[in-house]
Amino acid sequence: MSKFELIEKYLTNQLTESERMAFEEQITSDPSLKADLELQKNIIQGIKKARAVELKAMLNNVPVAVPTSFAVTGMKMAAGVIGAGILITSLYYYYRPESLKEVPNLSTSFQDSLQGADSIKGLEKRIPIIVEPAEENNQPINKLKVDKEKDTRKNEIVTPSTVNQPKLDVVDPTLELSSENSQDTNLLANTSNSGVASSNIQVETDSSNKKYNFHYQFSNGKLQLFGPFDNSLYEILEINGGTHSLFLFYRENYYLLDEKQDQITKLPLIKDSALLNKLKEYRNK
Amino acid sequence: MAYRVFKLKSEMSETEIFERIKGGDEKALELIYKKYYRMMTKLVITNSGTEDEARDVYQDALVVFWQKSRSGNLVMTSKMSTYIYSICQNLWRKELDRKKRLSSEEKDSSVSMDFDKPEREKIIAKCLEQLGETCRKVLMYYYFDEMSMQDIADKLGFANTDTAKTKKYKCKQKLDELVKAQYSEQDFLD
Repeated sequence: MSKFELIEKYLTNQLTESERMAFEEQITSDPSLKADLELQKNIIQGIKKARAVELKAMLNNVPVAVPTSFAVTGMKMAAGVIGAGILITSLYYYYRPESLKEVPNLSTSFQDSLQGADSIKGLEKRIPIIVEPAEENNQPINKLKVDKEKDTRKNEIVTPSTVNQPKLDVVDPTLELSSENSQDTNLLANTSNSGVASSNIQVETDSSNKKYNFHYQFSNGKLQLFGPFDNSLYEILEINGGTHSLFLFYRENYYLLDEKQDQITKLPLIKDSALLNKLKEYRNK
Repeated sequence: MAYRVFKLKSEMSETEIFERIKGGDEKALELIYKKYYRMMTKLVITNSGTEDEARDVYQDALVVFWQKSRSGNLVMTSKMSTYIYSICQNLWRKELDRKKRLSSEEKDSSVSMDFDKPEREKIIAKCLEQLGETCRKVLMYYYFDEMSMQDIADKLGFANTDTAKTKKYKCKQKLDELVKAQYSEQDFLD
């Protein structure tokens, strides 16, 4: 065994008991061997340390949800501060009766901010996408034209800002059908105005692939769907709660989208009934 | 709040995650990191730690857990979370002890013995950077993750274990040279 090998095996616990004892004996009588051993020990420790640092950095980049209770407490505090502000202002105006008229305005804005706080608690946002088949132009609900002849691949960029302007290409059909249309839109608008992290989900569909007929993958932050998604409507549900999760709704079924999935994977059908009920509830909200 | 509940249900089972971690799947480690984040950081926060300290301890604990499960000697006798929790406890206890010692050392104005250890680690980290991605990975997988040559070959796409062995040998040699050069430079400066 070479000196290098011997040191290496000693440091990685690969020597037999007798070999190890012989080696330790050798160290005491050979200062240069001892120095080499020390150096190797340092280097291996350094490699281990570097790997630990790397793993830690990897974990540090994993987004963890700020505990919801924190967010709510923050909101309550903000509301409390505003409340105190109104109290002080009211007192101020109380002692200056000529300005009393302005007080109701203030409490309206207080109401508004409370409403904002409520919608934050929900922390839920939906980004519906509808791809309308080219042959069904008579459907009034959306305006997205798909030019199938040109290309089977399409790109759409969906940003939360679209919920503020419901007249854009991307329209939620449930919003259109619902009588509480405007209220819902307001709620969503409030949510996005209140500093909820915005996200961009870019979706690409590919219906021409023979091998992957009902699959997905995330590449470069883009969602790629493989399958007959041109023929029917699909929706992406984005749920920001304690965790950030994405779901696909297609032909009355729900599928889980793992944003870390960079391999082409079959779309996993969600069967859990509790989860399904939740999803239905969120989709129909 | 309810979302978290159903997210867990759609996730993999504990044994599945543990198997993936044993197989060196870093994504599985990220998964449990998220899953137990609140539970583990709470331990430190409720024991006179800050949120930053809590995160730090939890991340360190998971790195320990990763290495232990990777080396294949770890047999899960309790739930994974219980095991990780106990690592967190130990690490936090150690950290509290260190803090206490530190404050008493300040009074005694004694100097830490281990002064040049972080310095040496920095030098080696710098040399590793110079090696390039593949070499760095080979060495880290071999020495830290204690992967077999077969696993290293699979993970990095080498033709066979011999290629992995040669790679590891050459990369180590290169690193040794770089470190030696850095060390003598440092001695020269001192």
